[in-house]
Amino acid sequence: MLRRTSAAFLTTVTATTLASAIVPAGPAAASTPAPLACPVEETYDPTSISKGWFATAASSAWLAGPGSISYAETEGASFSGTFSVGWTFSASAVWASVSTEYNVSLTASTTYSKQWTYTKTVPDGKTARAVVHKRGAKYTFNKHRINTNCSTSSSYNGSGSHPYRANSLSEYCIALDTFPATDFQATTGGCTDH
Amino acid sequence: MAALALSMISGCTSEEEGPPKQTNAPSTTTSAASSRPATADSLVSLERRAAYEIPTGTQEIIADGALVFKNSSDFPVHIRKVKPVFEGGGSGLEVVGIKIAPLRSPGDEPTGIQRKFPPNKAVADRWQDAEGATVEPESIVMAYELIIGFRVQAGTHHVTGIQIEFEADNVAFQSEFSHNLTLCRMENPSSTAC
Repeated sequence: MLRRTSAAFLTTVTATTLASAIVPAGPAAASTPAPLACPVEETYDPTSISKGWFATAASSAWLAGPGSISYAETEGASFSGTFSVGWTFSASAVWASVSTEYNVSLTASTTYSKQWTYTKTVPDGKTARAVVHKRGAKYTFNKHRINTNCSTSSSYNGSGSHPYRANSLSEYCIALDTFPATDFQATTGGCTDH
Repeated sequence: MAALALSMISGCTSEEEGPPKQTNAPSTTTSAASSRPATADSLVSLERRAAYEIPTGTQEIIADGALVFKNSSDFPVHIRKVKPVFEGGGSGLEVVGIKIAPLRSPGDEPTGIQRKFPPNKAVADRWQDAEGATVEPESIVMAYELIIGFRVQAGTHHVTGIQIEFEADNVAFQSEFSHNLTLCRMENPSSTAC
């Protein structure tokens, strides 16, 4: 406790001394300490990541097996990511921090149009749909801020779900999704029928 | 997702078209221009054009809810008749019922293709006979699912389309949605294809 008080005192003294050096001498300047002035700085701290595959909107209807679903049409498979954050933030700065920490490049949304061709069988007792998936990641992050008065504050528990910026065909796959819908499949399971 | 599969077969208007009328009331003109008139394209399919193949058991009734559509006009649409289109006439395939159910929010999961008719109580509670039903504009009800009950008596059947006759703003229209459903009698319990 004593150390904290001393540190605060020293900081104040230092700031007052600096202010005295740049403010013209006079009665007002001498009696009113100048406010502390720090440049605002925000940094983001990614805390976890789960890489995998997101279900796009390109999907068949649900089918109660036994049966099969086939497809051979040209269609765009689109996926738009989302943030779940209760405080202000910069998306590009968050993605930059995730890129540095986990070596993945994220973006807000992707779309890829091609003739998707597949046949998927749904066994007896299962209800499933065929879904085009896009590679991406779910992640969490915190924010740390240096305020103008040189105090610091932190905000916690931000999260995001976004596709990888890479958008070649290898970033997509088609898999069977068993009811109820799964919107994300971790890479550990691969992009497989589930 | 929106794989548009609508084609107009015929349509008629009750009034002759004339030259646009001049008006000095800009607000009236703006209002008329902003409304979306009822046309043969007012019912828009949201179905992805996958092909479904389903072997069925004895007396089993398939609920085909793959067709999801919306009313893109600003006028309520009144359905007069719904008719599945069969390749080869459909002899040996019984249509048990044709129902319509609203999908009011993104959380309302479409029925898809189930092996019971009605597929579940939740759907049965909100569905009604398609013929005579009113399809509200998408600004009021997000979308609707059309659920057709099929029972295979003999043979293999290919449903290639669904015709809907409807009336909106005192004009009669007929549209056909493409569909790709194959139904047959199951040869053994593990069959996933016809």
